[in-house]
Amino acid sequence: MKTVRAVWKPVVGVLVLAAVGLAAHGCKPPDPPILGPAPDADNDGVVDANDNCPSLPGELRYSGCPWYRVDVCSGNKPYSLGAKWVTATPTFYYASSLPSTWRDVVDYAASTWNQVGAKVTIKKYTTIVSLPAQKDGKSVIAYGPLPDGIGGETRRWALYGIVIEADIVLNSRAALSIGGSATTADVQAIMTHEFGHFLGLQHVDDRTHTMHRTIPMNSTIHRTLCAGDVDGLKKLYP
Amino acid sequence: MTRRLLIFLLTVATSVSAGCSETPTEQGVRGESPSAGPESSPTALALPRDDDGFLALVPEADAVVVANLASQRSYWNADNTLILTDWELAVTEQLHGERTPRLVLTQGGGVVGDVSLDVSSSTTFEPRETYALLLQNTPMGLGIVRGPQGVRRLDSASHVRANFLTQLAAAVAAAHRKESE
Repeated sequence: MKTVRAVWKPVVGVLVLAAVGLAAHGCKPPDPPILGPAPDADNDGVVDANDNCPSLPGELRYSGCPWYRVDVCSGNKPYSLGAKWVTATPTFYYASSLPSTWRDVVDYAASTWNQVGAKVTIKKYTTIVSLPAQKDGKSVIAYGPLPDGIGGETRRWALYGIVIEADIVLNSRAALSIGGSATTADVQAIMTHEFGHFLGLQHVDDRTHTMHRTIPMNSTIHRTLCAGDVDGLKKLYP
Repeated sequence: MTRRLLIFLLTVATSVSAGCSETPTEQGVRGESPSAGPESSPTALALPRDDDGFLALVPEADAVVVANLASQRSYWNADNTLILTDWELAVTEQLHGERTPRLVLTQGGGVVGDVSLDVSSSTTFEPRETYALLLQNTPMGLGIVRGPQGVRRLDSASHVRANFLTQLAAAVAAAHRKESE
């Protein structure tokens, strides 16, 4: 019996090793599954599984979200200055063409700039005027036709480099609304941008800043100023 | 005892290797899927940076050009209510549209004597700078697509400029393809 055991022990050992080796050899990690096209509801190139904003077209570097949802006030505080007012209280009229329901948001837009601490304050006359936005010595906020793709326009007149009048026109051919939507731009955000021009600021290249030349649809982000916008105004009116 | 142990070990080894051998079979079935592997996954695409949406406006353009400022002239309009400027541009590259060596863009704004008018939706051009422009025909003549959005001043660094122009050419080609579909 002992002899039999002595013979079987190494055989069992070999078999154990063989079993383990066989198992290890046969068990390669499974290949990754090969799948069909992954769903991408907003068709922005970021599949829904990786898309933090699956219903809004966005960018890969922002996990599928549009920049204005995540990239607020980036950049190196850019600003660009134009001509300035001499008066510390440039004052505008509402033109009768401007929808009366928009006057409140125009006021909010002006007050945004009034609160930054620069030595200038936008004021308004209470009289509603029937004037076009043209050179007549009166600054008006009006509503009228502009070329396609433009939400608003500021026409800033200067004499000897000093601003003497600034008229703002909101485009009656553009889709505008208070608050904005997927197909409309926010009136208050546009007016905040135009008041920047009204005071003497120019466009900047950083899209997160209110003074960038474009405004995103479906967003109110440009109602709020970035550091470059504020710095520019303070530089213009120290 | 030893025999039982031996049978147990052989059973374990057989079942483990049999379980592992299922993998190739399943892979074969999944491999029949017509769609491809990770290289065609949308997230693997390198998307060009187009921060201000310039390239996205290419399909709206009747002409896409690269140009420099040749001359400019500002003047009052007929009823003295507006200052206009004619910007004459020398076209160095025509990526799309009817070939023209020079073009004139008339926009609001400019300086006449002591008076200046700055129109926020107009674009100004600087001497010695190079611009990419998306142009469209309007009832009032040649215009820039969406005002200042349809103009891009090109970077002076040649590799950055070349990279951008490659992207622009690709966007033009894509717009052509879409139009012909």
